[in-house]
Formats: sequence, C-alpha cells, structure tokens
Amino acid sequence: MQPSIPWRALRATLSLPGLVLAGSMVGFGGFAHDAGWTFLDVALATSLIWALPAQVILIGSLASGAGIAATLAVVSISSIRLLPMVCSLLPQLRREGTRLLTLVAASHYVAQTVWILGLLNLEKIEREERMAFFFWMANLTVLLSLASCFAGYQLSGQLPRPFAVALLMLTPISFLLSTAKTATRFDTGLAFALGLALLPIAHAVAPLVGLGTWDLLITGLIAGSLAFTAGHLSERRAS
Amino acid sequence: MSWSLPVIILAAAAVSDVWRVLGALVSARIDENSTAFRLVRCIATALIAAILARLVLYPTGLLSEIPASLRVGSMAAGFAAYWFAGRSMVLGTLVCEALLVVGVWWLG
Repeated sequence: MQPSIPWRALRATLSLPGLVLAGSMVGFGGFAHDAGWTFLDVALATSLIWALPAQVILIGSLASGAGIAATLAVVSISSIRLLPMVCSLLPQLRREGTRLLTLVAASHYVAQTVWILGLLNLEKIEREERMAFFFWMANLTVLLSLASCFAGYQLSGQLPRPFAVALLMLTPISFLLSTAKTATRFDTGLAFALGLALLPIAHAVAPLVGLGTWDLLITGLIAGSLAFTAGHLSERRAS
Repeated sequence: MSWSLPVIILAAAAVSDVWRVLGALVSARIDENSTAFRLVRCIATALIAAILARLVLYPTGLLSEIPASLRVGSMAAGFAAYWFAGRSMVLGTLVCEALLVVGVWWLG
C-alpha cells in the first residue's frame, strides 16, 4: 500500500531543500530580532510574503533608512522571478475542472524551495492527488519555516556574541551558496558575479546622484541586463 | 515614516503576490524559457547577489561591530570550501560559520 498523502508530503518537506530552508529561516529569525522586529512581524512576513529574498530586502532596506517606495519597489522586483516559477509548476497541479481560485491559492505558496520540492515530487504522485499533496507539502514547509524563525528569534537574544554573529551570517552565506548552486547557466552565473561586483560601486555612486537608497535596484537592473545581453550575444555567435 | 511595520509587511506581501497571481492567470499560455523570463531570471539573480553583498559589506546591527575583513574572509572561505568539496552547501556553511565564531571569539 502507498503511504498516505500527508505522510508523503511530510517526507518531502523534511528532505534536503526543506532543511536548508529551515536553516536559512533560523538566520532570518535572528536577523529580524537584531533589527528590532517583534515575532508577530516575523510570522506575518514569513507566512504572507513567503519569499526569503523579499523578506531580507524588507528588513535590510528599512534598517538602512530607505523610504517605503524604494523598499517596496525592490521587494516587488525581487519577486518577479516567482511568475515563471508559478507558470512552470501549476500545469503539473491542474486537471479537468480545477478552479482558478484553487490555482491562485496554490500560487501563493510558490517560492524557491516549494517550487523545487514540487518539481522533485509531483511527478511521482497520481494527478488526482497532486493538489492535496501540494497543499500539505507547502503548508508543512511554512510551518517548519515559522518554527525555524521562532528558534532563531529566541536564540538571538541569548547566544554568546560569537554565536549571535554566526546566526546573523546564516542569511548571506545561505544566499551565496544556494544561488551559486542554482545559477548554473552562463547568463545567471555572470549576473551573480556582476551583482556582487557592482553593489559596492552602486552603493558609493548612488548617493552622489541623489539615488542614495536605490543601490540594490540599480545593481540588480544593470548587472542583470548586462549578463542577459552577454548570454544572448554568446548564444547568437554559437548558433 | 508614518506607516506601521505590519502595514508595510502587508504591502510587501501584496507587491510580491501580484506576480504569483499573474502567473496563475497566464500559466497556460506562456513559455517559461522565453527571452523575457531569462532576463527576469538574470535580474533576480543579480538582485540576490546585491542583497548579500550589502548584508556583508554594509551591515546594520550586531554584524556591523565586527571587522569587514572577517565578514568577507569567512564568506570567501565558505565559498572555497563549498567549491572544493564538490558544491557542498553544508560544508561551505560550516566552514564560514566556524571561521566567524573563532574570529569573533579571538578578537573578544
């Protein structure tokens, strides 16, 4: 007999991508505590925004004194990447008669980790059971993330200094390594390297031209477009 | 700043979810490997690089109290460990964190 859907969803959630997310969420909890957020804010952000880069941008931008318009603009642009993810995942979930509202509800859960877990597991599930599996898996991943945030948040005030610093560093190191792992194409790899290299320049130059708090957006747009163009040109030459 | 934090969080959730809802509406009619989406993926990747660079180079809070060389050095060591251990995220994270803990403890 096949194991039940909730059980299979739990096993999917507790696989490596889910556990890596949990580690990053511990770091996010610590980061939010360090920035003076309440745990209610942390829980709201994790369950409603549900995209770690957007959440980190939100905290980081507000902490560095950026205005709300600049902050929301970068948050939104960092989330455009969710659109193609939703587009590639939903066709695996839908079947005859799936309501649009159900698809929209499912789309809210799509973020890097849930997307990967979906791609890894949905194929092995009977189509009639996929939607149920997806909601179980996605909600369990949210729960695991909230518990991890809570752990990080609680630890943050109590750890000895070296470990408190290490907790805060979990966010950047997990972004560095997980992006290095997923940016394997020529253009995304180049975008990653250019983003790292251009940020200090944008950070120094942006205030001089009156765009003080827009350094993230400037870096993302310039580095991303350059890398995309380079990738496009090299492919045209190759073909 | 007149908005309270929970309201800002709700607004941030709304401006993120817009793209997901749009994805759900057009999912049947769109090619996820199209040129436009490759541009989106490049910008998103560069943005993540920019966030992490800013967190490490210009941190706020507790991280700002430790030397930049230690922050950058531990990240570089973590990346080197990740790379030479066959792209192991666990090992890369452990090396970065271990170096940081020892470094902060050493500096007092």
